[in-house]
Amino acid sequence: MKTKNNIRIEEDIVLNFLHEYSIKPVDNGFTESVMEKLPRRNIKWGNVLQYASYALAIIAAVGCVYVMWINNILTAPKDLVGLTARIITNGIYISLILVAIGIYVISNYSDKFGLDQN
Amino acid sequence: MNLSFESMVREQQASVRGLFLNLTLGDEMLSDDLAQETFIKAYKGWNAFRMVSSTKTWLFRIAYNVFFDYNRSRKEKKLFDVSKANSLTSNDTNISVKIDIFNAMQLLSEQERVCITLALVEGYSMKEISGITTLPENTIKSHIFRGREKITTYLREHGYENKK
Repeated sequence: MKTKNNIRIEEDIVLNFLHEYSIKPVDNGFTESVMEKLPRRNIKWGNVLQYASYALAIIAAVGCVYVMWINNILTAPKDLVGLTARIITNGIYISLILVAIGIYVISNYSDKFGLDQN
Repeated sequence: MNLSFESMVREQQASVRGLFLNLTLGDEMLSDDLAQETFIKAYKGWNAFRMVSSTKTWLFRIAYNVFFDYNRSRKEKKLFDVSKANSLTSNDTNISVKIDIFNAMQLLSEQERVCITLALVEGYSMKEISGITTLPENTIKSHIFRGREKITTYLREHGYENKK
């Protein structure tokens, strides 16, 4: 064992000294504990919402075109029930478009709402 | 990706924890906490890391920022307690020498301690240290010079022999 008195201070004392006595910790489960604490990256909610909004927007747009073409142009409502049904179906598809726009906005600003888990 | 990151952690953990042990004057628990934070931050930037510098240098750059963020967040004047070096669990017989080193290191400013550790323990060049710390090379040189002087003086005063 080296003692104080036989450790010599040479010109490069600090270099040798620190080199010789610097501590090199052994792993002892450190890597495992780091790996356990890493943030999960499985789901990016922002992306999921964004794709969902695209899908909904397409469905809603196709639906609205269908409603307008079939119901509003090619046929006319014959009675109050038909008119009511048309208003309801138009309303549903317009709502779908609004929902799609809403989801799109949320997905683009998801980080501000704390939804992006990445 | 997790597998390669894990092998990187396994490979580099001793260096990063060793760096923090020197910077925290042997506080093993704090060193491990800071090292863990370093690796978690590294994980977040792992995809963007393009190997333009060595992995170790990149990690040390993160570690340097983690260390100074930690220091900034602490209110106490006295940051580290050398007595915690006593808790080192290694089975070496030179614990008293290590405590003396940590006592000597305590005399250094944080920047001096970082520069001394990177230059003399890790063997980095001035340019590399400048890359890690963003300090100018001349500043690093003077930190190392002053740091060496302080350590040498302390060790001489505490019974370590001067050969010259």
